[in-house]
Amino acid sequence: MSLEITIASIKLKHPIMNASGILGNTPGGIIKLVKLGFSAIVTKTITPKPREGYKPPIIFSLPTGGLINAIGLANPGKKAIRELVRVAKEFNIPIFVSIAGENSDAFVDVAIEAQQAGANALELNLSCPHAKGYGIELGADPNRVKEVVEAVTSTVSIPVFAKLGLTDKVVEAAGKALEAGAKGIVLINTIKAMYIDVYALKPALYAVYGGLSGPPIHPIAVRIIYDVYKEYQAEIIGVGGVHDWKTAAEFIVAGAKAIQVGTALVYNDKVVNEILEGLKQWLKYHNVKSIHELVGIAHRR
Amino acid sequence: MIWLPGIDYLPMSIADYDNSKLTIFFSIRGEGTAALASFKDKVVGIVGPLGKPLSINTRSRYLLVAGGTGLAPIIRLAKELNSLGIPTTIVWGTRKGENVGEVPTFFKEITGLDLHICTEDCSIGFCGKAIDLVNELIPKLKPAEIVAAGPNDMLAEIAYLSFKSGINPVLILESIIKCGLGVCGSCVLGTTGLRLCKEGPAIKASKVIDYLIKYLPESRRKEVISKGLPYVT
Repeated sequence: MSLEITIASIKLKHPIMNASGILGNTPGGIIKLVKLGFSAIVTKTITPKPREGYKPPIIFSLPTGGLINAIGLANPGKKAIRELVRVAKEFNIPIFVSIAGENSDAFVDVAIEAQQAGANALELNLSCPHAKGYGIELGADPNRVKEVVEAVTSTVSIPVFAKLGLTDKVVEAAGKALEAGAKGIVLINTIKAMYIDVYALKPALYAVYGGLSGPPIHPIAVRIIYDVYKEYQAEIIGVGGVHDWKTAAEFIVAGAKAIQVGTALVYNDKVVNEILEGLKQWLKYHNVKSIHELVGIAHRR
Repeated sequence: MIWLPGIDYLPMSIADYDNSKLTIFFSIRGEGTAALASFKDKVVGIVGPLGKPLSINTRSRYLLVAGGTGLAPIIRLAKELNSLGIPTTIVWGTRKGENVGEVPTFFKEITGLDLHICTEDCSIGFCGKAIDLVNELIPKLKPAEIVAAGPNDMLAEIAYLSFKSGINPVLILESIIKCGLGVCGSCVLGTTGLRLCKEGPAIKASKVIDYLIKYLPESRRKEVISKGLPYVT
């Protein structure tokens, strides 16, 4: 029995990667992610030029569960990619560079840099819900998704994943991304939300709106993974609220081959190993040798 | 973290607390701290405490060292040590005598202990840096535990001196804390991978010496690199 998986021809020793936005913006952060046990590293979303992001508070742990964040795509810019990739390679761990831009040209600009730096794959952030002019503003329109993905896949040769979020047209957008040459889809991003402090009588985040992550969005992610898999049997990386083996296994049954974990790290540093132990038992329970045998199994009738 | 609604979100040490009162010690450096100083009768939000607590060795003699506003996290610790009857010496260094003001009185009120003040302009107390006094005190006091908070160059020197005396001190570091939850990466200490807001802010020197070594003067840096020091390897 093995937890190894292959996704878009990339071999991973197990299916748990980190979600973009967690620690992947400095060499020290990458080292921390490696120590936390992830099988592949996903960088923080990188734009062509460095971005300051929003002023703090940029994140809160919510009384209703999960986190709300508006970091505002703060990142060190494309020049930092080389060092981030180098550090991951030192540990012999595949690295996905998450990239974003305001238009196709900006995506292509960072994509070229990432490929030259030796990145194993690209994750196109088409779904950040709180940075004006970026993310979901592109991702909500399936035709723009197609345009961006096509521009990138026609320029670079490494596998490209499109990261999409909750929109009315997410299934259609996933189809367009695949049509445009994406090797896989990452589902989902945080969901636009708000947290108000009733003592201060104000939205708590400096940016007012933020992205909701963690257990509250897990069932939404399950639904979207299920729908996208049903339509295209695509290579899917599931992300959203995974915090134990069961929430991870649900994604696999719905159609995800790999899983990203972010918010859970705030509450539990040992979450990766706990998920892996649970998944091993789960494979035994179902008497299968590999995770691949259970990917999308909910669709078999 | 202290939230000033609509203005800023500031990482702060808790100087003291009881059931209804929380005391913080800070100096006005920027827009945020200036706003905090004049924030009367308004709502502030508090998130925390963050990071890992310090454990106290009750059978020990403590030497606490603070540089500038590094005194903030030392106050509560000094109070705790004193209330447990643990012999404790506190060295506080500041550049100019004019920074001293009411600080020793405030410190004594909370902790019941006196500060050994060091000023670089020699106007009050010991003439020189905190680290110079520490160098004199270590052989005299033979402390078993050293805890220091302040600028990185001071912490690097404390680590160096302590290692030479066979002590692995606890260093309370500073870096830019933005999220306070361990996710944004802004407080990661170089390539140690340690996050100040999660694994810190108090960290054994042996775990961060690789990060602090660049703050040592050239000759000492070379010495550490060539000879190694206890705990460093």
